Amino acid sequence: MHMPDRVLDPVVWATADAASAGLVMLAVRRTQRKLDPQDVPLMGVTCAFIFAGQMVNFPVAPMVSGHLLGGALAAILLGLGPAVLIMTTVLVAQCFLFADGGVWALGANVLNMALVAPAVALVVYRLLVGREDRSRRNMTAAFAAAWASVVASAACACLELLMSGYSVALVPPALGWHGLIGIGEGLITVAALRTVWSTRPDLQPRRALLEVAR
Amino acid sequence: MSRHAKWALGALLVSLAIAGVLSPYASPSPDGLETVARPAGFADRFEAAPPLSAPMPDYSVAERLSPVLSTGIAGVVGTLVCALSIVIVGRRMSAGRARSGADDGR
Repeated sequence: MHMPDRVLDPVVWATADAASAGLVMLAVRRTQRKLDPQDVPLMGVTCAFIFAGQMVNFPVAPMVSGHLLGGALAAILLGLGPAVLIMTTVLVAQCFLFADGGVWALGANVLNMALVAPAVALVVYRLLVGREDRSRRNMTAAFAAAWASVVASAACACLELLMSGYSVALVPPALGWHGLIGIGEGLITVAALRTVWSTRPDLQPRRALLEVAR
Repeated sequence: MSRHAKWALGALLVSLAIAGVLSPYASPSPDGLETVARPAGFADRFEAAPPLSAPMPDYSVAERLSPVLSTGIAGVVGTLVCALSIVIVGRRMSAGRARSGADDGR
């Protein structure tokens, strides 16, 4: 879902760059205040897994593919602040090392995938999650959060494209394809969370939410 | 090595395997945004040269290597760069926080 350069109107990408810079700084401050040093290795492997997962496009239809975003996974495991930093790190590396996503469009990509995706995922997860750890209900909540994060991210990209003068006709197919990609996101997110929570029972499903409330 | 350190190492190895071994076999079809870009008329932008030249454009380290090897190496490098960057950032952040926490007498 990486937006290249020379697609968005300069006013749109410049505004997105400024908004993203401000919001990422806010995430840095927030994380700085409460990051537990014991969470740092988990941040490292989550970031590694998300970068790796984003490389593996899976087919959703003949001639259409999608890949993991990972915003929901990072947010549910670590909370909003660390998730924003992890996703921003992945996007910056993709942009400057691999020319994946435009340089001027980096702010738009950060807004869509590093800010909107984890934030929407946490809102949905928080609404649906139950008290019982590792229950089917919590896995359903994680699936829904992951699906919603991809669709919200795509909706945000659509908004940027509409503001840049593209036809509203691109919105239904964009949301439709990402609705399908979101199913893949949900399955990968649930599989990853199940693996993490069963091998590291100290990391509990409600942990990220407690961090939000703290 | 502590249990948590072993766990982190295992998780890193899984990620390296995904990026290094699995990623060359990813679907080559256009993704959701690229698919809608064709009728909207901005599909060619995905191929355009970036304003700053990237060292491994399109997740490929060298033209003369086989695509499987070239993508795999790019994936391993990217995964390590990502993990290392966030660990350095996280360490700095939590170090500052731990100190101020200690000052509070916690």
